[in-house]
This record gives sequence, C-alpha cells and structure tokens, in this order.
Amino acid sequence: MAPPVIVVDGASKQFYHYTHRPTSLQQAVLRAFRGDRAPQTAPHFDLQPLSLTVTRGEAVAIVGHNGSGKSTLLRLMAGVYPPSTGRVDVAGRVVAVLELGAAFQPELTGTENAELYAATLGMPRPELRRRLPQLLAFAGTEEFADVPLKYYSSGMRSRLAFAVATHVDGDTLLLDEVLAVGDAEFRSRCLATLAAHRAAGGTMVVVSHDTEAISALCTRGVWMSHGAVRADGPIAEVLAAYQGDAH
Amino acid sequence: MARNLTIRYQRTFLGFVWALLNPLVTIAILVSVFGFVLRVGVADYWMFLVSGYFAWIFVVHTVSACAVTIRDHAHLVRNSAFPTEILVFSTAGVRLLELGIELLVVALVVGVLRHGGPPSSLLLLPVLVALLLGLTVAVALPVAAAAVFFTDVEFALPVGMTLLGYLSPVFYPVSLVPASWVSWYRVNPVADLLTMFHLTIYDGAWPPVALVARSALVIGVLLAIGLALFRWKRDLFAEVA
Repeated sequence: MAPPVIVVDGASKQFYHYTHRPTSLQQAVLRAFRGDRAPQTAPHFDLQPLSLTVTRGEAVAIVGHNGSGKSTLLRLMAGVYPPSTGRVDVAGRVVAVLELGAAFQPELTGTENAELYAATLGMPRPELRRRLPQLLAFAGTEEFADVPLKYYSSGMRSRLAFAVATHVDGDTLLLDEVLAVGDAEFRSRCLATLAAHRAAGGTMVVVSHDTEAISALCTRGVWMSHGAVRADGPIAEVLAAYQGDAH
Repeated sequence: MARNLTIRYQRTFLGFVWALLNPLVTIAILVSVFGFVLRVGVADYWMFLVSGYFAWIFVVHTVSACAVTIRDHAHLVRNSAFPTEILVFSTAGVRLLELGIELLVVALVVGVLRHGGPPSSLLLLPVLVALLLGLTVAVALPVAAAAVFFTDVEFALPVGMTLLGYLSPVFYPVSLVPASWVSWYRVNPVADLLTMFHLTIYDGAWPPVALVARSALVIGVLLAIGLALFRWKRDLFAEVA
C-alpha cells in the first residue's frame, strides 16, 4: 500500500464563535463585571472528531451540502486551522488553494502577483521566474503580464491564480471549489493539468460541487454531512449515495 | 516587504519625497513652539529634537501600522498557513528602512554642525536601532493581536501613543524632569532609549555601559512577553480576522 501523506487522527474543530465573543472592549468589561461568561453552554462542534487517511497518489473528492464542514476539513489539512482535538499529520509539500488568488494585490502587475502568490504557496522566486513564461501561456494572460491586476477581468484573475497554483509543484494539492474557473476551454485544460498531476504520482484532495469533473478526476469520495463523515468509499458509490439523498 | 514599500508610494505624485517632507514640516513646527515660544532652553534645540524625534516617530508609525496589518491581510491569513508574526516583522522592516535613511542624514548633519565631524559615538547607533526595533516589535505584537479582536485598539492607540510621547524625552530632555520623579519616569523603557539616542547623536558621547545593558535587558524581557502574548492568540486569527 502506498505511504500515507495526510493522516487526520480524531481531529475536530470547534470555532470561536463570532456571536459568542465580545465585539468591543466595552462588552468584554461589562461581561467580566456581570460575571456572565460568553454563552457557551452547549459546546457546538463545527467539525466532529474524525479520522481519515489519504495515501500517496490518491485523488479524493469531498462532497456535501454548504456548511457541512468540507472547507473546514480542508483548512485543517492545510494547517490554516489547528485542530481543537486530535492531530493532523502531513508529509511532503502541500499546496493549498483555498481561495483563488488569496494574496493578490490589485496595484501590482500580473507577473508581480504571480511571484507573490507563488511565494505564499511556498515556491521561491527564482524557481517561479524560470517557469513564468509557461505559466502565463497556460493562463493565457501573456499580453497582460505587466498590467496592474485591477484592470484584469475576474476570469483572467482566476485563470492566473489557477495557473500559479498548479505550477508550484506540490506533492499534494488541496483545492477548494477552484475547478469552476474560466471558460469551457480553460476548464478542460485545468482538468487535464490535474490529471497530469495524478499521472505523475501526485496526490490531491478536492472540494467541489462539480460532480462531472470529480467523477472523472477522483477515485475516492468522502461525503460530509453536519460536520461528520457520512460516507467514504469509491467515488461512484459515494456520489450515487449523495445524489440519491438529495432527491 | 518590498511589496509594502512599492504599494505605499506607487500612486503618489511626489513618491518618496513625502517620506521626508512630512517629518520636516513637523520638526519646523516643533522647533518654533518648543525652541522659540516655550523655550526649552537647550542649546541648538532643533539638533536635540531631531536626535530623538525620528526614533520616536518610528515607534508610533510602526505600532499604528501593525495594529491593522492582520486585518489588512485577512485574506492571506484565512487561506494560507504561515507564522503571522511575519506580517508584524515585515511592517516594521519597511519602516526600518525609512528610519535608517533619516538617522543617517541626522547623524551626519548634527555631527558636522555640532561636533565638527561625525563623533565616534555614532558607532553605537546600530545597537540603539536594534534595541529600538526590539522595543517597537515588543509593543506592536500584542497590539496587533488585540486589534484582531477589539476594534477599540485602533481608536485607543493614537491617544496612548500621544501620552507615551509626552511621558518620554521626545520634546524635552530628561534633565528638565523634576529630580524626585526621575526614577518613576525611567520605568518607561522609551525614556532610557531616547536618552541614549540624544547622548550618541546630540552630545556625541558614549552612553554608560550600565545604561545600555539595563535597556537591553528590559527590552529583551518585554520582547519575550510580547511574543508570548501574540502566540497565545495566534491560532484564532484565521477564524476571526
């Protein structure tokens, strides 16, 4: 069996609820005087303790309704959130694209933004410089390389972001709803890139509502519901169960 | 870091000139008020003022900028795993570059006009700048963390900084502070630090070793506390920012 690259071991995530925290110093002080602690009577676990192992070369799709905990699980894997309980262990270089172009700055040019974004995803600048022409060609934004990003259309921005994300050579890609970018032609190129990543032995975990794309791309499905894993198995079975449940 | 700098000045007409123009105008005002109206009674008052003023302004600007840096980069904080301290460090780094240029000019001008050439005490300036950076970061870290949770911080900060400025020898020398107050006055770590800036630049004299050592010790402890406070709440930034 292939070695595990992501091990989620009884990890849970309890959010520090916005409604439960004081929003101003005044509230915090008043609460302290009144002696009423933040109303945390019933601990509300946004993600219940769950265990999950992803092995090298696997392509896992996480499906589920909005608010079921898909993105939270992905953020735990990415290390953005530390788990409230349990552990999350990750091996190799993990590239997490939780929101396309998270680091983009409107005043900087396309090239500068590509460098910046690659740096936040963990790729050093010289390496990116080398791959830049290829990357810009993939995104189809070569002519706009030196134009500030604020003049880009949202489609162009997404394409550039996706191109950077797939060109930083992660061993493991964590993608959150990023398959639905660009036009049909770009989408098919994205899917081809991800298929090539898999063919090269790469691992990926994808959160997506695009059932057509994930059934073509992924081998395993994880169905999340109310912060827990409802089903985990071959993609076709999990998707069938998930879609059957919706009707 | 370079990104912060270029973004700051990219769309301005005068560019980096603003970085010099603003403090120069402020200094002209301060010299008029404290040198000619209130008459602090320090020889070459304007030279005394510039010896400590830029160091103090570095603290004020850096801490204010750090207060909003995590919220300004909320997008980044929510979507990538990295030690958020970097945001505070890089904010301070950008200002440090400005401070370096300002101090260089001040040290040379004061050195030539007051001492007939740069005094040897200027060699201590890198150490003083390191201490200043340490103290600033020590204050900025908990402020940045608190500002994530409480918007009040942003409003309280200007008042707090003004207060701290008047409680420090920015506009007047420590020698004007009543003798019985001095030991309390020196509890404020900014006081000793600015005194050392005045000694090395304005007086062209080496500060006593004990003073430097005491200041370094205090700042080291404050830095450890600041970092601990920041890390205590750091894991929540991705949710709250």
